[in-house]
Amino acid sequence: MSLIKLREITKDYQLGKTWVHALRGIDLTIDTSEIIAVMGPSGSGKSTLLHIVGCLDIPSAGTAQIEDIATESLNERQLVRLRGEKIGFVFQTFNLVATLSAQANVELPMIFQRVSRSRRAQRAAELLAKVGLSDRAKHRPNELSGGERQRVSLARALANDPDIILADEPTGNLDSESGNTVMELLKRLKNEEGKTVIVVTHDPEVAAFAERVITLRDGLIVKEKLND
Amino acid sequence: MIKDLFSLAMRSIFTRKLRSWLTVIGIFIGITAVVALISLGLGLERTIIDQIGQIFGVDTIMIIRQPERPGAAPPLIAIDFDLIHGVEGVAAVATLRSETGFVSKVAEDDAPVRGLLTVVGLSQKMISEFQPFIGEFTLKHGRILTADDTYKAFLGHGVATQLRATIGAVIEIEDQRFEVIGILEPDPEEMRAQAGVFAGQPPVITDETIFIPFALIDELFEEAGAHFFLVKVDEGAQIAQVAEEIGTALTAAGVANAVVMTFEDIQQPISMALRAVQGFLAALAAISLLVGGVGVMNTMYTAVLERTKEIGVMKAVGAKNSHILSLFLIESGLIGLVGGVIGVIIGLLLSTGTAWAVLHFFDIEIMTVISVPLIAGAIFFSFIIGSLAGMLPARRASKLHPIEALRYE
Ligand SMILES: Nc1ncnc2c1ncn2[C@@H]1O[C@H](COP(=O)(O)OP(=O)(O)OP(=O)(O)O)[C@@H](O)[C@H]1O
Ligand SMILES: [Mg+2]
Repeated sequence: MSLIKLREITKDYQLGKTWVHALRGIDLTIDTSEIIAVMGPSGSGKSTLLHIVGCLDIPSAGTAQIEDIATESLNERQLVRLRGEKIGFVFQTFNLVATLSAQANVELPMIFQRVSRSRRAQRAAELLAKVGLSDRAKHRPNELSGGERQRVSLARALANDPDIILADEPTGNLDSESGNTVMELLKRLKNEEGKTVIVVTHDPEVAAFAERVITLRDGLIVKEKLND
Repeated sequence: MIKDLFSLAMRSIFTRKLRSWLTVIGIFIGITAVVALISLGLGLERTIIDQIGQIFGVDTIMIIRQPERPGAAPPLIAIDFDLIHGVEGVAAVATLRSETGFVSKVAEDDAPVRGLLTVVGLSQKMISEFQPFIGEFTLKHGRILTADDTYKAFLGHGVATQLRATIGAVIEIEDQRFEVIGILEPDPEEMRAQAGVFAGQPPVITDETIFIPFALIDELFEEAGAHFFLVKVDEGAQIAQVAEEIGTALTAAGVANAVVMTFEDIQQPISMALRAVQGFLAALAAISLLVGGVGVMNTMYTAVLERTKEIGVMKAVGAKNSHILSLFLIESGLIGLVGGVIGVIIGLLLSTGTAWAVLHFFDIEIMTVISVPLIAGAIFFSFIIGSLAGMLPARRASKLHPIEALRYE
């Protein structure tokens, strides 16, 4: 079953008098419980694509469907809701809230979904256990290593039990060992919980974890390869 | 939900302690000034009203005649005591009239002593019922006037010395002979009978005064009447109603232009004037609150800028614009609220301290008033200032595009 359907997606940015065509016609279908890597040179539009799938941004043209919902038909409130319920983000720079503990960072998305306090605490503890950080719950981000921070941010991405996890160079700031840990976790989420994962990466080793690798160049998909 | 946003806001306030406190200072200085000024003003007002109440008495009604021009001393008003006694609820009626008369002592051996002196006609009830007005008479020799006395007088100490008068001496006031029946002790307080002050009369200086029965003063000086009459009402009587009935009775009796005043009527313009001064001062102090508000706005804009990325993250993990808006509004409102609470506490301490210092150094007692509406109002107002100042920055934060916020370095 196809979970994400992108048709003729373009995204243009105006920079002064010139236009930047970040995406120039992307057609992509992603099935439920698939793990897919997006590669390509810097500036090829990988992040832009991820933002559109994640409802953080809207395409200039084309249609994006998530679970048969056409995102262009949604207003801002509905987009926020879809994002909050269905999608979890992992960023290259972790983007944890510096003033909050690991536990509180994981609870943050649940606050916005009005999850009760006790339920929230319980779920955050479970998720931290899942990423192997139970003993770090009270730590602030600056008291954690890069790999640990990325695992916290993965736990945060899972807070509202999303169907889709979008990771933008999640291993970009990590050594290969920490990077592998993160990728193993993503793979387990896919295998055990049927999550759909899209990983943007420059690293072929990371891409090797995916079932399918697509390569972008200048806003177009130039290559698509299935791993075995 | 609100509770969670609240604790998030608290967290960001506390992680930026120094800046938050500096911003709070901006608010609490203004609130301190406003609260201290108004508290002192209220205390002063209550002190003055209280003092008026002590002299005038809350159960007292005063009758004067409408002055010809505002501010001028009211002309004499002649009223039959029985007319007022006829009104239900009236317990006592009294008056005094102060005149300057030509006085001489008939000397047997010495050369005659004469001079222009203050002569006060006292109605009997003035002494018995309105003692706070006239003060207590402490006699050195003899006795004071009783109801049966005619052509008798008692003298203040100063005037007795001046006239070289002793008990039994005969003095002439406006060519009418009076027998001296009493001489008062020297009066250390100097001014006593202040009642007339409310009717625009100078206070009576007891030491320098010759007291005679009120009934005789009409005889000595042209024109009958007094500058004011005082009425005491029965215990539990409706003062306003009694005052109204007196007014009606006077009109019916053809006494023109009588003004019947109660304690309320006297106290009100004084309160109003004091409040106007207070309001003006508080408004000046409130200007500093505006400056404090700008400080909050500045802090909040900086916070939005600093936390742009955090805002982006929150939006990426599902925060609505309204969540971000509330978060920043709560934060600025809290800054205002804390400033308000601190300001109220310091303001109250300041006003109490000032009252204490005034008592200590100048021996003037000013009451300290802790007004609940003032406290609640000041705290609410500072919360509102904080929230208003945070409005624009919070709006800016909530309108940030998530991607742009995330890209912000
Ligand atoms: N807000 C923007 N305004 C103008 N141009 C933009 C904006 N956002 C992205 N772009 C442009 O769109 C293109 C695609 O950007 P994108 O961030 O998707 O690249 P990327 O593939 O993720 O690159 P990298 O690997 O370096 O992260 C780039 O040329 C970038 O300059
Ligand atoms: Mg990118």
